[in-house]
This record gives sequence, C-alpha cells and structure tokens, in this order.
Amino acid sequence: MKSLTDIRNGTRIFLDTSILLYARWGISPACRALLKRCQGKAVQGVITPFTLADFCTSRMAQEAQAAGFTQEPTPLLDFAEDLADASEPPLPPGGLRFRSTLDLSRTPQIIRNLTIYADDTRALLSGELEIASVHPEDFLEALFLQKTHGLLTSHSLNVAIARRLGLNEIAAADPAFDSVQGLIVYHPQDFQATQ
Amino acid sequence: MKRKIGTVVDEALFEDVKTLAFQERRRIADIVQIALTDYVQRAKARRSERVGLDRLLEKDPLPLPTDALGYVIADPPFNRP
Repeated sequence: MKSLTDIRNGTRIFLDTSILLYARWGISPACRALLKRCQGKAVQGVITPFTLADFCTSRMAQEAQAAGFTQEPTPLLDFAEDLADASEPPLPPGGLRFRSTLDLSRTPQIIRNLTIYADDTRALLSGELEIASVHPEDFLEALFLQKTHGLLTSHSLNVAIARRLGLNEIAAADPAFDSVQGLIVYHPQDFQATQ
Repeated sequence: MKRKIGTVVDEALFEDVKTLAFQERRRIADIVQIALTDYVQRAKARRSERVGLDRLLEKDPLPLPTDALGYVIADPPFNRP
C-alpha cells in the first residue's frame, strides 16, 4: 500500500473527499501535508464537482450536528423502527424504503443559519486545487466502472473523470479505489483519534 | 458625527424593535445603531479570516463527528440514498 508521502513532486493527482475531510478534521497530518504541497504547487491536486458536493454535504451535516440541530447519522438497520411508523403506508414484503439519514432536507431554516461549511467549501474554490469539469460521457464510463469494480456513484464518477483527464494517481482514505486496475492509490496511514 | 437615514423594514420586525426599545428604555435609533455595528463587525471578521486551503489547515471549529473515520470510508454522503 502506498502512503501519501510517496507522492512525488510534480504529480498531478486526484484528491478524494476523504483526504479533504481528514485534513480539515485534523486527524491526519499526512492529509494536511498533502494539502500544503498542493497549496505550494509541489503537487497539482485535482477535484471534481462531486468531490465538492461530498465535502459540502459532510460539513453541512457536521455543522448542523454541532449546533444540536439534527440527530447522528442513522445506520440503515436502525430504520426498522421507522417502518412501524403509522403515518407511512406499509411496505410490501421485502420492500425497501429510501430516505435521507438526516432531517436537514426538511429544515431549510437550519441550513440558512449555517456558515462554517459554506466558507470551507468556498476555500476549495479558491483556485489552489484544479476543479475538473464533468462531461455527460463521464456518466457512461461511471456506469461501466460500477459494473466492473463495484464502485459507488460518486467514486465511479470521480474515477471516470480522472481517467478522461489522464490521471492514474489518486489520494484517498477510502479503500474502494484499491480494486480499480491501472489506478495508483495513495492512502493516509497516520490517523489520529483526537484533534 | 451622526447622520439621519431613512429606510423601510418589515412591520412585524419594527413592532418587535419598538417593544424592545420600550422594555430596555432605549431609543429605536440606538437599537439600529447597535444592530448595524454588530453586522459590520461580523462582516469584517469574516473577511479577515483565512481563505483558500489555509482555511482548511486551521484547527476545525467544529467537533469531530462521532464516527469520523467510518463516516467517510463506509458511507460517503453523495452515495447515501
């Protein structure tokens, strides 16, 4: 497994959302060091609008939780008690009910009062990281990647965009990319439990 | 030096301001002055904050999510139903 410190100067590399979050949370000095290298242009960090969306969503939920507005993210298995909610129609046998794990979508007045997540997201738009554009054909490639490598939506879209740009190196805490052939994945290996 | 200004505000808000002014024995002009000063100071503070990746490298003002590591690895927000 390659470490973030193995990334050579001059490399143009895709940054997964997890790298940005771990750097912001202060739980991985290696992630912070990588962002500093991107800032100093020793490494050219590339992200996509999907990376921005992931980051924005995570920080929004985190800020809302910190302010006491929402509950913790609920594991899917805990939805069993929700299924007994009399206000909702019963599910057919084996049926699935999809819903957001947070109630933020129902509380726009809460989102309007949050500020930190927005400033953090603006920080990513400052020009120090390259933001790749999305093409419609990226979705076709993403569907193929989902089928061949079992990738989730945002992961597959990001890999599709990276491939189109000729990037074969990615920095990620997430092990999901390890299975993609032809991709060199660098992982942070220095998580710290406390800030 | 002070100058006179005129503006239009929401009726309900103005009623609240009048009530507060009466309760706190302040002039409405004083309350407007306090509110504007507070707004300007907060705006200036926001502008003086670091921008760009420097901001992300500052100490996070938010507490760490309880399951921070698993939160991202197992369930990126964009992939949630």
